[in-house]
Amino acid sequence: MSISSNRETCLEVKNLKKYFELKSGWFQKPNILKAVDDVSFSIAKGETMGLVGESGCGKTTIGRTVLKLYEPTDGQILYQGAEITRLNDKEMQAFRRKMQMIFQDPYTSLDPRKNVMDIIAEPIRFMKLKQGKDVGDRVRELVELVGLKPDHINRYPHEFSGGQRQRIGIARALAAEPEFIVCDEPISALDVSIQAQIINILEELQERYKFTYLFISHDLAMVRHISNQIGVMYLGNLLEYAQADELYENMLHPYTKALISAEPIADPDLAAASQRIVLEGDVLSPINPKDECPFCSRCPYVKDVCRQAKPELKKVNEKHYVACHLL
Amino acid sequence: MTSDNVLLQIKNLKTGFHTGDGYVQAVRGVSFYVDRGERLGIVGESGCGKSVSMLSIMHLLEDNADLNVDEIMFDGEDLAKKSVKEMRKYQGNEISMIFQDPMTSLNPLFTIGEQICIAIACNPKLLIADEPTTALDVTIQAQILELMQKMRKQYAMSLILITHDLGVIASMCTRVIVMYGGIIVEEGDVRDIFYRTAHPYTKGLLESIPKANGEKLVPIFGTPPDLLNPPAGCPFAARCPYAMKLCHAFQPKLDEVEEGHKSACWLHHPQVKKNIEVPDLAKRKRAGELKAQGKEKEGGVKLS
Repeated sequence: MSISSNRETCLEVKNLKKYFELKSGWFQKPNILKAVDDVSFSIAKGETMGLVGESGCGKTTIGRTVLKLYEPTDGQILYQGAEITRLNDKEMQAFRRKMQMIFQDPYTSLDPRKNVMDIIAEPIRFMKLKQGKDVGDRVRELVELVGLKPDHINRYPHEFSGGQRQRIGIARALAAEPEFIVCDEPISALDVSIQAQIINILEELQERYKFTYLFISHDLAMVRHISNQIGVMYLGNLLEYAQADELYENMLHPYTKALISAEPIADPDLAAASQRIVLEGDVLSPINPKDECPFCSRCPYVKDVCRQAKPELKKVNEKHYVACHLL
Repeated sequence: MTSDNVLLQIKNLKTGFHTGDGYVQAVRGVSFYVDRGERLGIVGESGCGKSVSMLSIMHLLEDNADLNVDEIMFDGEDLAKKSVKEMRKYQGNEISMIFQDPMTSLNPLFTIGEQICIAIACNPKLLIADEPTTALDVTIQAQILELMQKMRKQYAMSLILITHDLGVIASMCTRVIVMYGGIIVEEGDVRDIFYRTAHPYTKGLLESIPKANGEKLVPIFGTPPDLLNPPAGCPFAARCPYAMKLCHAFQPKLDEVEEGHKSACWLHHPQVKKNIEVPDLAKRKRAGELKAQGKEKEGGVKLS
C-alpha cells in the first residue's frame, strides 16, 4: 500500500502482526497481547513516515519489529523489495548495517564507560567498514557532521547535555552508513530549544544522504513538520494513514480529530477559539481484543456496527486511507 | 495592581544547593506576585529555577538547600518568617501543590485526577501545579486541563502553572513569567508574551516550535548556563544572536517595556535602542489585530 508519488520504495510492511503471549495458568489458553495487529504501510526512498499515537498504541513495537529486533508474528517486511521477515540473525547482517535506530533516551542508550571515540568507532570496527587510522578519521568526520567539537571525542557521556548526547546517538547510527533509520521518540526527553536543533540535524542529513526515516513520536506538531506521510496508531491498529498535509487538511477518523484537537496550541487567541474534543471512557485492553473497532469505547460517534466487527483500512483517495465503519 | 488584590508577593528570592560538585545557584533573585483569581504561568526549560522557586515558597526544600528571601507575603502574612511547623498550616490548606507524576499507576487520569481532588479538598486560595501533565498523553492531558479549569472556576482559586509547554501556557494562563538561568527574563500578559515578545530567549522558544506551514525550525544554539558557575552578565548572552559586549559583563534589570510587560535585556536600554525581529506569530498578529488596537509600530516591535 503506497501513498507516495515516489516510485522507489525503501520499506514496505504488509499485514504486520506482533503478538506477545502472556503467561496464564496451566492448561489455560495463553493470553495474547496484540501489540501490532495487521498493519500495512510503505515508505518511499528519501522520505519520512511519521507514526503517532499515545502510549501503548504499538508505534515503538512497529519500529523494533521492522528492524527485526522483535520477531514478527505474521505478515511481511520488505526492504528495498527483499523480504526480510523470516531471515535469521546471520542472514540479517547484510541489512543491519543499512537499517539503524536512534533511541529516545540519550541518557541510557550510550555506554557510560566508553568515551565518544569508542562509542562511535564500535560499529565501524564491528562491521569492518574502516581499518586502523581511518577509523579515527571517520569518527572525527561524524562528530563534526552532527555539530559536536573535535575535542569532544575524548569525553564520556556524563559530561554532555541531553542534546549533545542525542547528537552522539545520531553519529553512532550514522557510523554504520545506513539508508533507513528508525527514530524512536528522538526528541521527547529534550528541552524545547534543543528539540529544534536535533530536528534540523535530522533534516539536513536526510537532504544530504537521502535517508529514509520512520519517525515515531507523540508530538503531533513535530511529526507534521518532519513527515511526508503519517500513520495514526491506536491499540496496535493503524486507524488513519495519509500524506501529511492531506491528513491535517482532511482528517477523517474521530480519533485523529480528538488527538489533534487535544494538542495545545501555542497561540492564545487560536487556543481560545479552538474547540478541544475531550474523550471520555477508558482505553480497551490490548489483551485478547474482541472483533470490534479498537476505538469504540471512547468514540463520541459510536454505533452498533462498530462493536460487531473491526473496520478495515479503506482507501479514501490516492493519498489517504482510514479505518472507520461510519465513513 | 492594588495590594488588596495581591494574594502572593515574593521579593528577591535566592535559592542555592550544596552539592558534591559545588554550590548551585538555582534561583538568583526572583520577585513576582500572583493576584487573587489569577492564572499565572511560569515557563522555562530544565534547570531554569521554576520548580525550585515554588518549593522555596512552600518551605519544601531539602536539607542541602540555602534559602534567602526578603519576603513571601501570602494573604497578609510573611511566610518567610514561618517555622517549618507553622508552614504545615498552609501546606495543603491555604496553598496546594500538584506535582508531576510520571506514570506511577496504570491509569494516569486516575492518579492526577485524584491528586487534583486531594489538592482542592481544603478549598485552598492558591493551587500550584508543577508540570501536572508533562508525562501524560495528549488526550489525557486535555482531560486534566479541562478538570483544572473547572475546579479553579468553581472554587475561585489562584493558579500557578509551571510548565515547559508554551501550548499549555497559551490555553491555560492569563499572565506569564519566563525564566532562564535562575532569573526572570520576561513577564507580562499572555498576549504580551506571544504577540509582543520582548526578550530574545522568549522569541527563541517561540521559534523552536514547529509551525503548520512546514518552515524550517529556528533552534536556539548552544546549551543553558551552568549554575555552578553562573555567568556575570545576562545568562542568555552566550546563546543570544543579539548579544553585545555589555551583555556578557552585566546582568540587565527586569524593566517595564510597556505597561505590565517587563523584560530583562540590554536591547531595551535607551542608549542601545535595538529591535529584535519579532517571531512569525507576532508578525501576523501585528499586521491584523494589533493595527486595530493602534499598537502597531514600524520595523518590528520597538522595544526601547
